[in-house]
Amino acid sequence: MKQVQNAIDAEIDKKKRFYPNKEALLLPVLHAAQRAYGWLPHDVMEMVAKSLELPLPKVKQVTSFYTMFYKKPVGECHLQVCNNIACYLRGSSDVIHYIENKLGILPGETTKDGLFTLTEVECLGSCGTAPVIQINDDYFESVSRSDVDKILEAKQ
Amino acid sequence: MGTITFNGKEIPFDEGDNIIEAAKKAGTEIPHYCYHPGLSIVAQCRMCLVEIEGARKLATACSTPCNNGMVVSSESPTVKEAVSGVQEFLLLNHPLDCPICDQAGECSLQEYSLKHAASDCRTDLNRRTYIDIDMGPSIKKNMNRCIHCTRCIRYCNEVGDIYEMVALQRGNNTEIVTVDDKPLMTAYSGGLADVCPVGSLTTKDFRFSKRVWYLRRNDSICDGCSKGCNITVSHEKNLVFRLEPRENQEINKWWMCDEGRYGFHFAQSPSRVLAPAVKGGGSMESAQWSEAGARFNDLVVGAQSIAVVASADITNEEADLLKSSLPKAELYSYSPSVDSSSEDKALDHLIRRKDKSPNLKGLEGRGYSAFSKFNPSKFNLVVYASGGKVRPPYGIAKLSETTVGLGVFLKEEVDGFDVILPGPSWLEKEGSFTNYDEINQHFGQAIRPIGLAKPMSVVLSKYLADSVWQAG
Ligand code: SF4
Ligand code: SF4
Ligand code: FES
Repeated sequence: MKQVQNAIDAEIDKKKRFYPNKEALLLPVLHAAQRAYGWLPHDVMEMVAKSLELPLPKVKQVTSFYTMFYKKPVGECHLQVCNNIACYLRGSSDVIHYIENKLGILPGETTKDGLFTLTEVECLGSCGTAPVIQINDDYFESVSRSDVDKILEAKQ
Repeated sequence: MGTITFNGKEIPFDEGDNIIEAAKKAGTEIPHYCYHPGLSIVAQCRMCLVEIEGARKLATACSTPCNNGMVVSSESPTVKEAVSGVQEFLLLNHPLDCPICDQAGECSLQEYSLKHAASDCRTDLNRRTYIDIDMGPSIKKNMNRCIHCTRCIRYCNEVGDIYEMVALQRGNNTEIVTVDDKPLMTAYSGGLADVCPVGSLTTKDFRFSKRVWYLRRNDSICDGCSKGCNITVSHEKNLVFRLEPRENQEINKWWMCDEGRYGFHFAQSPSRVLAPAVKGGGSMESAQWSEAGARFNDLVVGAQSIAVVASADITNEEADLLKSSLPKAELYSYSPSVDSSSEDKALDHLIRRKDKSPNLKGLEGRGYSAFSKFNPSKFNLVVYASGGKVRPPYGIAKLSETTVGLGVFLKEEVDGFDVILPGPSWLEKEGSFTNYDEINQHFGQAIRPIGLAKPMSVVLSKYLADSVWQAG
């Protein structure tokens, strides 16, 4: 927790002058806290709220709005499969089902070993290379079943 | 100052007016949900779309300030189509359960649907459904009917000074909740039902007690503290059902507190004394007006020294009347929370005051002394006048030889009195209160006196002998 607090403080110090008010600064600080802790449990949100002197409900409201803020722990490898119209037309549903079967989890769930989390997401802005999977911070484009096999193997 | 052309007519606007306000002053309502003149502007419901000449897109009237010479239409075919589209979207998830919704009859969604939307429904999608949830002591939430205008959230932050209420999730899944199901603890929670434009947030006190179209409304003044908030009284068949704030920019703006809002119940409580009573063999017994009145007169005529002690919730007119009809009496005022108006102060950031009586200033101005100066042993007769909500000091009647109660009393308070002459509460009479700021406010009568209660003017003129009046 000490590290998380340090990460929060460092981010506030660094970004303060670029943001017009505390409300605006909240987003980068939440990202920093999430990078440090992995996800955003109540205690971390409270820490952010205190550090920025914002009401805790405001922080919870913001984190609940953005799916990129995790309210549950996520696996080391976070598979975010786009299922918006372009990816859908190019077979993303099939990709999702394939991963479901392979890992034995449904979207929103994490494997028992804590390695993989599967999430169905909205447009990733890469429609030209649909279907797309975002794994942590990287894009994997035009994926097929065999690509999925390769990716999962590499991560295991 | 300037003018805009609105729907072909030139209308004036004041500095800072947005288009909704300017139109309102000219007598046209531009439909709106998220906009409330007392809250910050977010322009998110899109119901107030208007067409402005020269602008590329439709604009939201709530967030667009008037500019001299602006040409605005709220009636063009483009606007009509857009507004009916917005309304249709808002109804996608709405249960349309007006027949069992308490807001029906005063619901913006219902009114605007009638005026601005198509009468049929083009979808058969499932509605989101939630169960009703208690939100603290005063409010019940029905999330099914919510249109996500966020007025309630802004009201909590900006008026109630609490931050518990938030919108979780987004889009179709947005849900208005209190974080971690915390109860809404603010002295102004009742106002959430006022600002919610639909039947999502209702007060537990009023919900399901009366269809609003049966209610008759009268303007009045709250008697809960020295602020003197302006209110509207809703009543039917001589029963009051609710109080709501009435806008007065000088005093309460658009708001009132919960204590004032729900404070009227005492006047209709079963323990209020509604018939004259005289002391029999030890306890109080109901009596005819003639008998109790005669006893009152005898006591006044026979008394060497008289004091009038008045709760600071009698009207200025009643105070004058007591002074002139009991010319020999010494006059005292009583407020439960302060001895004199100099101790009064604001209780919070908004409107509530420490002095929990509405008219201490008025009584002081009429020569009524502070209660701390009152020495009961000096008097043979005390006439205690009670105008309403302020409860008399405990055991007041036992302090002097004889005591007459004039006005509003509860059964548990009459012990020790010699005569009780029931009078109307502030909702049952007209008069005026002077607030802490020396603003004198007249209010009208909302309902008839309850039970056998008689106005003070009638009691004093009818039962007191002429000799008493002329004694001074
Ligand atoms: S509960 Fe009422 S005031 Fe709050 S967002 Fe919903 S409709 Fe608006
Ligand atoms: S602030 Fe005072 S006058 Fe206003 S509503 Fe509350 S009790 Fe009544
Ligand atoms: S009232 Fe203007 S957008 Fe809601």
